[in-house]
Amino acid sequence: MSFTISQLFVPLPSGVVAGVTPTTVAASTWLFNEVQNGSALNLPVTSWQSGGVAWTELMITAVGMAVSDANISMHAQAAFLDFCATGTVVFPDPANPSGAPITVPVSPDPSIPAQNPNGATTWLDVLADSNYNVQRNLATFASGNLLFANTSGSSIGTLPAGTFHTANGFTGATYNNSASFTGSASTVLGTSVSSATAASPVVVTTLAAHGIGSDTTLYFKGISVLPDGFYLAHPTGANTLSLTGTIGTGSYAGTAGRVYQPVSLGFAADVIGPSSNAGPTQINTLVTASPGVFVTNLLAFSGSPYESNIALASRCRAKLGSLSLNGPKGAYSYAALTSSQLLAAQSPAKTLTSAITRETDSNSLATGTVTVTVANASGPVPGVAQVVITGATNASPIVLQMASTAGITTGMVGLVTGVQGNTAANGYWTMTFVDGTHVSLNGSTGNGAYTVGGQLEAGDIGLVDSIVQAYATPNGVTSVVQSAAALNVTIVATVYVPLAFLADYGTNPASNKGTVALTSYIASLPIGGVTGIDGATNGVIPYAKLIETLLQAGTTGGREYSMSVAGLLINGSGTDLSMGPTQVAVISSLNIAVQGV
Amino acid sequence: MFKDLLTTPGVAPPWLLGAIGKLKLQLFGATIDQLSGELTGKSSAAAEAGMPMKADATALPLIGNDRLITQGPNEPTATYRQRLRAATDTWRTFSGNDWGIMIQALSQFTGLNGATQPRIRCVSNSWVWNWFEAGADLTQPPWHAVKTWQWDTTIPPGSPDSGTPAQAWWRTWMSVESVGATAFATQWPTLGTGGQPTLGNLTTGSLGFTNVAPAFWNSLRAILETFRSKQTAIRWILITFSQSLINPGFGADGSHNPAGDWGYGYKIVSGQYQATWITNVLPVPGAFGAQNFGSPNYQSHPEFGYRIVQGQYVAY
Repeated sequence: MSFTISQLFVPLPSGVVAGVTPTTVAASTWLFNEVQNGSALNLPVTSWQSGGVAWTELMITAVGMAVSDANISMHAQAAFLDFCATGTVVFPDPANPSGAPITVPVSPDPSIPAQNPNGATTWLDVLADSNYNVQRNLATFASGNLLFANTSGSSIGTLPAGTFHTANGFTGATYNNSASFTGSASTVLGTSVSSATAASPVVVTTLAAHGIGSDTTLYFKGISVLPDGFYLAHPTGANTLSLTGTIGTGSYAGTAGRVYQPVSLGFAADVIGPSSNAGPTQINTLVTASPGVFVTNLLAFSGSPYESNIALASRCRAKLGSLSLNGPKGAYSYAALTSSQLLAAQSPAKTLTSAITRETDSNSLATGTVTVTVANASGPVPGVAQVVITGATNASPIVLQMASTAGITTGMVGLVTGVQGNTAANGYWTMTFVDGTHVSLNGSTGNGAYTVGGQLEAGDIGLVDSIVQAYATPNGVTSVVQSAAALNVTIVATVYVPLAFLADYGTNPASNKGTVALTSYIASLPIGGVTGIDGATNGVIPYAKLIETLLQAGTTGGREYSMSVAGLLINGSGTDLSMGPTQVAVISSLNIAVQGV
Repeated sequence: MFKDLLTTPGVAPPWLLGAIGKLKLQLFGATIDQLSGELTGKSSAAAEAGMPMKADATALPLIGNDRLITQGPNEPTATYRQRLRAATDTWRTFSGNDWGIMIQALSQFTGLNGATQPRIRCVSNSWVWNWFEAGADLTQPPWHAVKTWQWDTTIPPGSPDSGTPAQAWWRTWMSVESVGATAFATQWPTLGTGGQPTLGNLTTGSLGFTNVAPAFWNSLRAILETFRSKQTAIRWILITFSQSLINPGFGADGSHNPAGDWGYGYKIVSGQYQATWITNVLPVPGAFGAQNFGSPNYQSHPEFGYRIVQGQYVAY
């Protein structure tokens, strides 16, 4: 017996409506087939008593067969990447008094919390693992280090892991301590502050030597020329600190001011995924009440989302290209998009701040060079690849010279290779940004005069480039990884929903369903946008898709209730927004108002 | 089976073996038979759906979509099953090299307009030629030679090739021979004449061809784009209507092979398209990752590979 794909994928419905004995039986249903069987046996099936045992038995059997048929449909679809990723199956739901069937995704997508909130294994995970040896990129918690200054003069804790909570002052996302710690009173530097200039920058003088040898972020309190807070202090003398980027006002007198040395503690978001991402200094609020304690984050916290079903299916196909030694397109795509897993498997393991979720590649007809452009869920990826080093000071710390330090930030880890003469520069280093052409290597000491050579790979871009070179680029071919460039996007709109669903959609512009859905959509847009929209010759952010996304966000119980969207503007315009081929959309402002009608 | 089994004395209670009772049992037996027959068969078919040698023919395009192996417009199902079965080997061994690219291209040309498997060649700027003779066994390595190849010593102005070294090793060309039994395409009698004098009939043919639709070239380009080495630019697909053209047996003489001045494809002279080189070779843009396909003219007719420069159509 042969079945077409259509027959396999689309199960026959039962033909049964719960609680209703049919007077006529719809064709192409299991109940219809049973009646046909009965007719073939000359049984007066259609004249049996409504609600009688015979009908009920037929209906039960029909539902059972329809359920089996739906299961077969699911198994059949699960054999193919696209259907496994996005296919659905309609199951009869005898328990539903309305008789309405339920639609179930073949593989509930963990990137859509409503479908698969806990990231449970799906058919697609099984197919990808078994047939392609490809594993889904899992979501991660946004994490990093917080500076912790305890100015209370007394110790708090010991606090077990997960018991001290802080929050992002802008988004409200919360974080907890990754390890047990005791919040000892912070060390006061230089006894107290004897003077502070109301200048730009503020210069603070301590009574005693402060003991700070290099640029350090410290907590300053009670110094009237500037607000209490964390500031980057540049030591200009044994007792003086210049506070980078500050402008003093008023005057300072007395010795009430204090300079505290914070400690660095590991924290991670309470909620998995990128919703808890935080920019530098945004995590500045205590949830666990602790008077006199202050926190901040110097570097961004980034978490990765679950890889979507569509992305996983696409990566399975790209895996085929990675089988080749000749570097077809799929090899580059697979290496970049799998880089977080490949780096984690290295010894020692390396970690991206956020997994690469988007990739595009191009080749230059003029040079033959392959350029791989990547983005993560937040947009541009930090770091640089293949930066040519032109100098390395024979000093402590070593200062590298290059044409441009664009893309390098303080705290970034970089790999220096190929430096001749001052070979102590080679290796992994945490770096400090110096200026537009120089970075220093923290803790390094030169061992000779620089002669020639050297390359720097830093941050996530550097790590991804190392993977692309190792796993995709054939011998003799030049390839390089670069970050997609941010295209900042401002979106405003008003969504109208029935009053009865206003609470479900939510009215808070920061967290309503439309805001969440649009944020997720923009984070999934490919580099360069969507092509082939409205005859556009380049990629765009499609205007109509944003409206559709806002409307579909208003769904409950499988039904869409949103009524309309008005005043939608993307960067001030009511049309598709064009994107460059290596641009990635980043939301700079999102204001979705919701009104009940 | 169950239809009879359920009514067997000893299985069914005697009080259910009356006239109506027996029929009712038979009905349920028949239902179970249907369950174990149709559903079991369907279940087996579902398990086999992803297996190219077992699946129903309607499943093969889906398998091909997963394995990135596209069925040719006229490729027999049995042949396609074999190619799908060997997909992993194909990707591992052949993707990104001339052998693999030619296999993929031939799967599309063979059978097109009734043609048998044509002769196909790849030649690079490194003067490396690889080719399969018409009807060759594709499981055997292609023939190989190092012979002169000189496409453009002067790069056409405005071309994506501008800035490209004339001997850039990453540029390659594919030629496919449409002659005799392997004739898969027919060229317009004279360029610039015919039902659509300048652009050809876009429903049935593309520029220069009467019977190869634009969609064919787009599909072929997509396949080559997936299979080529990413750095390799398959610059042109040259369709030849003579066995002596694009042939390593001849030098860069300008009459059989380019002599360094073939950078342009066509131009318009007095409202008529003219090839800028010898007749009986028609160029189709290849897969070369050009980023500047954004001109409206190219986008409207991507199968052409032309754009307008100073009022003249010129090739990319």
